[in-house]
Amino acid sequence: MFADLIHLHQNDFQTIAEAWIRVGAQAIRLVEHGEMIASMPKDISFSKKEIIGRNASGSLELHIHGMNDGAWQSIADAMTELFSHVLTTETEMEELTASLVETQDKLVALYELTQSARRALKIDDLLDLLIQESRRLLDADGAFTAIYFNNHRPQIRQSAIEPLPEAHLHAASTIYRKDTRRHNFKDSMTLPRGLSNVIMSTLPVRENVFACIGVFNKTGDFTSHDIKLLRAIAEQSGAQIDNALLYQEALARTRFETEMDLARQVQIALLPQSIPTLDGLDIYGASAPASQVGGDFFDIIARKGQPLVFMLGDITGKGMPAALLMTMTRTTARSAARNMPFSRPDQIVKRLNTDLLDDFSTVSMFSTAFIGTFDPVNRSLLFSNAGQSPILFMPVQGEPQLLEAQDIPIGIFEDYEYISQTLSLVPGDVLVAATDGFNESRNNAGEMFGMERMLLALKHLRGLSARGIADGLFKAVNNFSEDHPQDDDRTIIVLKVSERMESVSFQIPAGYEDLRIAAKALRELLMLHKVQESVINNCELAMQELLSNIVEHSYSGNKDKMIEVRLQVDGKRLIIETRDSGIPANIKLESVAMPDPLELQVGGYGMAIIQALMDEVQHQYKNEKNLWTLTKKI
Amino acid sequence: MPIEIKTTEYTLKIVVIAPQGRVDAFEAPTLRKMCEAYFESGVTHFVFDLSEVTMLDSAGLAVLVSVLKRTRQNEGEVRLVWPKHEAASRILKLTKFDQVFQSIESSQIVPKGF
Repeated sequence: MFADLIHLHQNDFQTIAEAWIRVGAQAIRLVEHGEMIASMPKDISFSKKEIIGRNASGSLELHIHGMNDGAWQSIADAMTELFSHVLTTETEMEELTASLVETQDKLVALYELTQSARRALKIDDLLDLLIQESRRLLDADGAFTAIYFNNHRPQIRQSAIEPLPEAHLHAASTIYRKDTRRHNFKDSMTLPRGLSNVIMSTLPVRENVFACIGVFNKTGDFTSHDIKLLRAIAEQSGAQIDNALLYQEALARTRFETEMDLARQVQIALLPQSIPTLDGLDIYGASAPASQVGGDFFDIIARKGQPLVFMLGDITGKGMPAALLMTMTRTTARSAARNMPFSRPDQIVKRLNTDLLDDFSTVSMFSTAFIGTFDPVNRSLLFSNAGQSPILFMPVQGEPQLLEAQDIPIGIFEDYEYISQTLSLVPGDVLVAATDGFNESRNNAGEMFGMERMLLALKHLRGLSARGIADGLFKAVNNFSEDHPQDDDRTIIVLKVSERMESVSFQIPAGYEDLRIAAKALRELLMLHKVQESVINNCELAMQELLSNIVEHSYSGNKDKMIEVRLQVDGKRLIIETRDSGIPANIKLESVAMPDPLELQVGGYGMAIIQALMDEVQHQYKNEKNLWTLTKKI
Repeated sequence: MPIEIKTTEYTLKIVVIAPQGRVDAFEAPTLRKMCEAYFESGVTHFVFDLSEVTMLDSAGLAVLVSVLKRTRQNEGEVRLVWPKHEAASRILKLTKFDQVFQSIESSQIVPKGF
């Protein structure tokens, strides 16, 4: 189209025209495709005589009026060709410049968008930025994005002077999705109401997600330049959106993992944080969940004045459902064991069954449980086994044996009567209660650890402490299964009966009345150990005499002072230790003798009584304290 | 002629003290004060009924010994009703005061005891 450009070469045309006029022409016209694009002089009637110069393609003609000498024909042709060439070059230059400017505009716009997009990590922020910028760059009323995570309903975000109903934008994106080769829509028949024109482009994100951007309602129409720019924007933004989607998913996954981790921590916190110690029993428990949260539980509860309770169980299934029920079961069991006046395991199991039956039935799950109590005085173990396996008993003499479950799991039958069984234990006896995560562990060859291997491992471990046995069994199973992933939770409680050894330590004020506290503690301790009454009386009297001496002689009756007392029974002996920070006792123990009663002395019997009653009496003055140690075989 | 009769009336004051429970270093001062009050009121004969005493220590014993000592100066006497509880009788044997104190079966027969 030279018509737009001829003005740039008006002077050249004028020079040529003037030259022709000097050689006799009346008027000169430049005609492109039959249409005049320049003439000189401007208003003149045409003379019929003319020479017409043509360029090679015949698109441009130079009409020279008032001349008909054929000799000028070739000059006219050459001149037209030259002019055509100049104008053609000019056109190309013009187009090239326009294209350069356009490219530069686009580059700047894209650069800005990319820079801003980098700061937007969240998908929604990024999409908002994208539609706002597209709207601005394309000078339209609105823009929107539609992302189809599934095939039904896209997630739509828009930015518009007059926002449109989401359904309309959904409809627009649906039309586009049918044929993504078409970008420009301005057909009022097919477009939803409110959309006068819209251009659309696909946002290239991952394969299973369709995403597109649309810019709508531009005054006038969108040009091909607009479409190119939108496509460039879309092309550029696809990767960013994909990143943001990934980030969002990673964030969601992290949040899920954090929550699972928290759940796991809650579960771990629910497991006993410390194992209670009990004289006469070495007990240990541990659990290794297979997944992040598990369905196994165990608990060991020391109850004042009542036998120790221990329990272990396994909820059917794995993961979160099992974990939730495990938490519930464990809490109910703990509360039943701790707060109810239940002394027998079957009462606790029955209570669990009654309380949890409805919940378990609703979700068609159940739980196995092994609940036992141990009384260290008579070394009797009472237990109730609701479907729990394996339970292994290893008497100090004799072969290990598997204690089969007597009762069905909890959560199955209402009013099921559970029973308690009794085992009388002796020092050295070991009881192992575990969940099937041990014996059913598999190695890479698909072999099961099994009961035989478990018994064999325990035979080797039985000499160790309860913890040593548990740790050893964990290790044995881990060694067996190698790098095969752990399929199920592994939970274990080990009881090992030990020789009893008990001690009690306390402080009392140096007042005669308070000595009775010590007397009571001593009496309780010795009664617990089934010491003969006459021996208890002797020990009590000896301690009373010792403490009276300390009150009277060491502290001179000052009740603000304290006496430390430690009573210890190590199976065969009672050891009474006292510490006081009073006056150092000035007494020669070896020369103490019982006063002759006939002398009727009113004092001085105490130490002689102590020596007569106890096997050993020692005194030391150390670190500014009197330390008395009385020992008596019991 | 009516015979001449000289009469002399004696009043023997006997007190029976029957502590219950522990007679230990904490209770001994109470018992001691009580006995002193009886001495002041002219009592010379003491019966300690220890049958319900559950525990006797050297402080409790010292009260008994001091009362015995003082009655001897006043030509009085002390009798014990033996404790039923071993924790109370143990110390009497240990210190051999079981051989010093005279005992009676029961405080019901007190007058016959002297």
